[in-house]
Parts: sequence; C-alpha cells; structure tokens
Amino acid sequence: MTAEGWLEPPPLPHHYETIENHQAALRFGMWLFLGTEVLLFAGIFVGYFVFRTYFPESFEQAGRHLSLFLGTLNTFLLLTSSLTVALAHHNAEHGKNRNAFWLLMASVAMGAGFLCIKAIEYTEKFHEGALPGKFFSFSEITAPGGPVFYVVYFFSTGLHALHVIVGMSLLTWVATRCWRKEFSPTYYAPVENAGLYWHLVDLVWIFLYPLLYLV
Amino acid sequence: MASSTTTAGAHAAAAHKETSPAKLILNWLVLCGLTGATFGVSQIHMPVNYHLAAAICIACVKVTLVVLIFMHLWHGEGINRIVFLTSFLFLLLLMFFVMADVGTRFTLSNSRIPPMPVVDQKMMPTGMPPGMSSVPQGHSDGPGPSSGEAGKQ
Amino acid sequence: MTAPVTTTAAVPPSGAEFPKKSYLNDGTTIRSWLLTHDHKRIALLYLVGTTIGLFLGGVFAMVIRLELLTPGPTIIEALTYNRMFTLHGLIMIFMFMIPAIPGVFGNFFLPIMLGAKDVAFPKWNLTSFYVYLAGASLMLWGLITGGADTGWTFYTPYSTTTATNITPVMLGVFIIGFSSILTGLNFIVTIHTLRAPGVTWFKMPLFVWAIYATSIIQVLATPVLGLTTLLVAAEHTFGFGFFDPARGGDPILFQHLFWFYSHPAVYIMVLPAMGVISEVICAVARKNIFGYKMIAMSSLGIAFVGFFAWGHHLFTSGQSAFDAGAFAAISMLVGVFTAIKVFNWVGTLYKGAIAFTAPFAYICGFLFFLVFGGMTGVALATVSLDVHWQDTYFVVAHFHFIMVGAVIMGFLAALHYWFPKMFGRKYPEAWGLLAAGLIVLGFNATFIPQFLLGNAGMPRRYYEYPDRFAALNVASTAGASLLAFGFIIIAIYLAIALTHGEVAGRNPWGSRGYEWDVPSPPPTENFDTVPVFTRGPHEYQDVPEELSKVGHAI
Repeated sequence: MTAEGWLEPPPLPHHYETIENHQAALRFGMWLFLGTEVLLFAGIFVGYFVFRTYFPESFEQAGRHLSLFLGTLNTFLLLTSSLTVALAHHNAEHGKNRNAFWLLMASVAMGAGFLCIKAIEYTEKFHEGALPGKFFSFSEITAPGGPVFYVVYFFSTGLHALHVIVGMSLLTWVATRCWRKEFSPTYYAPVENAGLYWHLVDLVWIFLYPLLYLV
Repeated sequence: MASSTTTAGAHAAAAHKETSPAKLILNWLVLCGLTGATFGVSQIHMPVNYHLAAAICIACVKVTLVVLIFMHLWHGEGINRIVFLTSFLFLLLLMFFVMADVGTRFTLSNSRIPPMPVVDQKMMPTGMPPGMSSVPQGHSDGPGPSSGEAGKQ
Repeated sequence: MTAPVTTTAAVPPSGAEFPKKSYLNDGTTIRSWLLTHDHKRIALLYLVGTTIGLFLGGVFAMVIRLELLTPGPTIIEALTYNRMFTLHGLIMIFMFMIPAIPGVFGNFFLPIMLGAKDVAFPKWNLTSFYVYLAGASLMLWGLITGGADTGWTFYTPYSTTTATNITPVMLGVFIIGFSSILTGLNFIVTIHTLRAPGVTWFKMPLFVWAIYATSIIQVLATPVLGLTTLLVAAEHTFGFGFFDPARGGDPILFQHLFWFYSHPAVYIMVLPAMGVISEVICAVARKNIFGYKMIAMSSLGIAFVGFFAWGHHLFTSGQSAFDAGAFAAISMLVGVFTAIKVFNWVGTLYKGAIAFTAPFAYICGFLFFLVFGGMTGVALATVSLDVHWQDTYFVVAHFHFIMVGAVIMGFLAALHYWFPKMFGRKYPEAWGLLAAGLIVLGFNATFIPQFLLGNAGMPRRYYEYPDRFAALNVASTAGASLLAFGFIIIAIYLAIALTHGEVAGRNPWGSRGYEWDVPSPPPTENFDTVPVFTRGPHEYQDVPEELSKVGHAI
C-alpha cells in the first residue's frame, strides 16, 4: 500500500516501454471491441428498418402495445447508471477507490432494476401471446407482420439484456478491485474499459427505446 | 515500443485532460431532457415518418453526448474517434445498401415494362413482403414506408 | 530517418550452428506450450490446428471428387454427398483459410517485423487460439452428429427448415468468429502501439500492411456473421420466421447479412496471401519492391471496396435492379486494386536476379491463379453474364482459383520461405520444387475442367450429372489426386526437415526483411533491447547488407 492509500499498480508487461503506452493500447483495444459491438447490433437495426418498411402498420400497432411507462423508466435507469459509471471512472482516476466502489455498485443495482423491469415486460408479452414467429397469438394486432415485429423486439431487447448482464458482471468485477484499492492515477484502465462497455450498452438502448416504444 | 513513434502513444498525454464531475452531471441532465423531448415529440400528432426522423435525430444527439463526454472521446485519442466513426460508417453503409434493395425491389425493374400478371391471391400466404407479393407496386420512386403499403393486403 | 547509425555486424556463414537457446526449447513441458503467451508458440499451435483443418477439408474434397468420378452414384449416397460438401466448405473456410496465414505467419512475424517483443495482448492471443479450438470442435461435432447438409452458405429457408441439426454448427461458427475478431483486434493494436523506432507507417513491411487491412475486415465484418448465425440458429430451433416469407420474413435479408461478412471474408483469406507474395517476391528477385506505397494502399483499398461488393452474390436471388447495378460496378473496382498489385509484383520481378526456388514457384502459381481467378471474377460480376453462370461449376472454379489457387499458393510460399526462420532448418529444395510443380499442375487439372463444365451448364452441388460431362469430371478428379499427392510430399519432407534438415543460419535467403535480423529460430523475446531499424524492409539495391542494430540474445 502506497502512502496515498492505494496499491502499487501491477508491473508493466515486458513488451511495453511506458505505462502510458500500455494504457493507450488497452483503451484502443476496447474501442475496437466497441466497434465490433456496433456492427453486431447493426444487423438487428437493419432488420428493424427492412420489416418496418414491409409492415408499417403492424409495427405502429405493436409499438403502441409496449408499455411506454416501463420503457421510459428503463431509459432513465440506464442513463443514470451511465452517469454513475462515468463518475466512478473519475473517482478511480483520482485514487478515491471507495467512492468508485459505491458508484459502481449503484450502477450494478440500476442494471439489475433494468433487467427486472424487462422481465415484467416479457412476462406480460408471454401472457398476451405477443410472441415471435410461430408462437404469435396476439389478437389485437390485426395488420400482417405482427410475428416479425416480435422477433425484432425479442431479439434486440434480448441481445441487449445479455449485454446488460455481461456489463453488470464487468462492473462488479472492477468494483471488487476498487474495494481492494487497486486503482490510482497511473493505473485505472480496467475501470475505464468496463465503463466504456457499459456506456455502449446505454448507447444501444438510446436507439432501441424510440424505435420500439415511440414510433 | 517507444511511445514517441506511435500514434496512440503520442496522444496518450492528451487523454489525461479530464471531464469534471459537474460537467458529467450537466451532461446527464441534458440527456434526461432529451429523453423527455423524444417522448414529447412522440405525442405530437404528425405523420409517422416525421416521428421516425425526429426520434432518430434526437437519439443521434444523445449518442454523440454520451460518446463525447461520458466516454471521453472529446479529450480522447484521435484514433479512437476514427474507430468509432468507422464502425458507424459501416453500419450506415450496410443499412444503405439493404434499404436501397428493399426500397427499389421491383419498382425500378418494373418501371418500364408492363405490370406483372396477377396470380391467385389464395396461393399467396398473408404477410408477404411487397417484393414477393404478386400485385404490382405502382411507381413510387424511392425507399420509404410508402413502398411497403402493399404488404398489408 | 532519425535513427542512429548502426555498426555493420558480420554476417554469420551459412553453415552456422543451431542456436542453443530459442523459443523452441525455452520450456519443454507440454504445459509450457499449451499455456504459452509467446506469439511464436501460439503461431505454432495455430499451425497445428490449421493443418488439421487443411487435412480434413482435403479428405472431404477427395470424397466429393471420387463421387463425381462417374455420372451416377459412385461411392456415397446423395445425402452423404450433401454432408460432404458442407463439411468441406465449412472446414476449409473456418478452420483453415481464415485463421491460416494471420494465425500462423501473422502471429509469428508481425511482432518481429515491427521490432516488438510480443503482440499487444498476449493473453488474449492465447485465448483466441482456444476459442478457435472450441468453436472448431463444436462445429465439427455438430457436423458429424447433426449431419448438416446446407452447404457452408446456410441459405434460408432451407437451412431453417432442414431436418438435420444445424444449431451446434451455427454456434461453432459464431465462436470461431470471436477468435477471428480477437486476432484482428490484437494485430491492429500491436501495429498502432508497438512499432520500434524507425518503423514508421511507410517503413512497415508489406506483409504487415496486408495483415493490417485483413484485421480491419475481421473486426468490422465478423460481428455481422455472428448475429446472422444466431438468427438462423434461433429460427431453426424456435421457428421465428425472420427469414421465412410464410411468416412475413425475408430470405433475401439473410443473404445480405450473410454476404456482408462472407464476401469480405474472401479478402480476409486472400489479402494475407498477397502480403506474403510482396515479401517473398523481393527476396527471390533480389530487388526493391516496385511501388511500395501503391501495394500498401491497395491493400486498404481492397479492404474497403471489398466490403461493398457483397451484392454480386444476390444477382439472381431477387435483389433489386438498382442494387445489382451498384454492386456490379463496385465489384469491378476490386479488380482495379488487385491489378495494381499484380503490375507492381511483375514490375518487381522485371530484371531481377531471380532464384528459382520453391517459394518462387509458388509465386508464379499465385500470379497465374490470381489473374485468372480475378478476371473470371470480373466476368461473373457482370450481371447479365452471372445469370447464366450462377450456381454452376464456373463459379466453383472461379472461387477455387482465388481461395485455393491464390491463398494456398501464398500459404505454401510463406511456409517454405519462413520455414528456416521458424524452425532453424532448411527444407530440401529439390523436393520443394517437385511438390510445387505437382501442386500447380494438379490444381490446373482440377479446376480448368470445372470452368468448362460450368460454362456448359453443370450446376454445383449436384449428386449426379449427364454422361456428356463425364470426361471433364474424370479430368478434374485426376487433377485433384495429383494435388493431394503434392500435399503429401510436402508434409513428408517438411516433417523430416524439422529435425534432420540442414541448419539454416540467420538469413539463408539473404533477405532484407526485418525478421531475418534475429537468429533462426528466434529467441523467446525476439530482441534483448529495443531494436532500431535504419533501412526499409525491402531495400536490396544500393544498400550493402548489414544487420540492423538489434539486441541479439546470442
């Protein structure tokens, strides 16, 4: 434990010359990975627009049957968790590991809240029979294309929820490292990268929310 | 190996400029405001295409704010900005070519030849995409929901 | 160039001794190999994995060719035949072609060529190998137990309605995609952050440029394939109907998403081979590379343009006329960038002091196959001609000219050229030339008849064919046997050379590439100190050979 109250950073990998170079490499690698995530979701968004073009009416009808209140609440939850993650990054960068820990735990809690609300919405859909493909039996959508909307809906929100779970695990992992006071002004890349991942989860939802719930 | 020669390393120092907590909270407030705005706009009565355009525009602004401030690209290395923009560019190009296909499937190829013969509707499953439907599409001149109207029959 | 002046080191005589310490004997337990973080050992793990892939894919190819020896049923049933071409395609593409050159030679040489001790993220590098292994195992297990018969393209709605179990295969492909992304990501970060002093962007070896362009495609395209395989698996399992017109889905959307990855994937395979050729051609011709910047930039050009050519697979699938025209025009641009490379390579050979060795024999094969395959590609990109050739053996022959012709030539050229560096021993040159001759000859004999068959109207993936196609099919099968024979010879003499070959010494080719400055085989950390490269990687003329200032381990 150093005098400032944090652990010594781990030794620099042998193939890097400076710690700045190593941190830049980690950050760059994370951004590249986020680029792949953008393209992973690209396919779903393309599917959304294609089927919206084919079935504008059923997409409107089905969109109206989603719970606007729960969707909006979830949007605020994710935005706020993004703020706490950004603040945690700021605190870790200044060696305030305990603050960072609590902020990260708050983000994880909000992520869990998001998932609970999502589960409520899913349950409702299951009871209504508003389900993808051959399981579709929702009488209130009269226009053709209802089953396809729910494929898009469940696949996009499901894939997003999977990312929320992965993001929560990452945040929990860096939070435990915060608890052990591992981060300092020279070493905070894990907090930053886990935070970047969480922000990406937020970004995807920023697009999904209006497209599914509002339009 | 030596940071002096490397792209990312040369900008590493710039990344240390940080965003103050006050700015982060301000950004959060703006984002919440924009969420309210996108909700508000959705309640205004106007054509659905306008709704779509407005929602996408607001979402883009929100994403820009998150990326620049929460994700620190404002102060970050140039290469990371390039990476992120490139991934969005490729998303847009994928979307452009697929939507160009969906929007012009049949209308362009049929615009100078007689309409396709009408086959028995009972043979066609419901919910066919217009590209596969047997009924000629008229001559709408571009992508957009209008070319999908036939999907309803 | 600001690097300090280097001292001219003595060049070791060619009869040099085998280095006492190298990456090969630094740790001899199995654990030290399987859990290594050393990029060179990971490269050898990839060499083992991809060689198994090549062997399996080759065996299934031979089964297909034997079945097609006679017009009627020959050795297998129709359904088995469908499974065989599915196995052949999936194994060759995902277990061999995509990881082969980046995974083996990229991993081994990219850090050395940049003057780095390792890739940016060594642990992720090892992870990517095991992810590859896991995905390949799952895919193989699924193929063998589930008996997928869809072909490697998984076209819907057949793939979503087939009675065979394709879900584990799709998940295996998805997992291999992760490995591909990790490798590409690692290389991009390495190139950006770990270049030694003196290695500026335009002094990077051309192989590095090619790997860079390849990695960009891997990172940007593979996620879309991942999503598509998930969608097809979900649709097959749960009947979602995303790609099923009866439920409002769109099968053409599947083809868009699938080819958004799978067309650029061709460049994932062929760009590294082009990089290999750029390296080897200077060494065998003993000349500076002609048009360095042109070759480097055309790699990026192919990577970019190649992304937006995918629609030429959909010309007859119901894609709109507008998209067909747009994609046809863009596809032809790929030919422009490829031609730039070919002209520069030929320009490099012009008036060179060419040593006719096995790597050069493969270069000759490569140039012929690439031009021939490329030109038929331009013909196929013409919409009106494609209507005639779509799904015939003409297409099969075309893409085998690029994917087998060009890529395997590049792979074998790399294997022979870098074999002394990787293992410290030389291969027998006479056997090398013999095998190269057999392979080039066998390849032509296999696939030129297929061009003729396709043009005459023989469709691909058919179990039986009319008698009039028999003669050409026999020729094709005979050629395939010759090809297989060539590979067997290579496997035998390289295996013997591993332990009994003549000791190569540091630089048996007299090459100026950076990787030849370190001992063969290289020490574990490549360099003791940060190396300083004072000359370009392809400078042969007017520059006396001198070692760059590298910290030698011995």
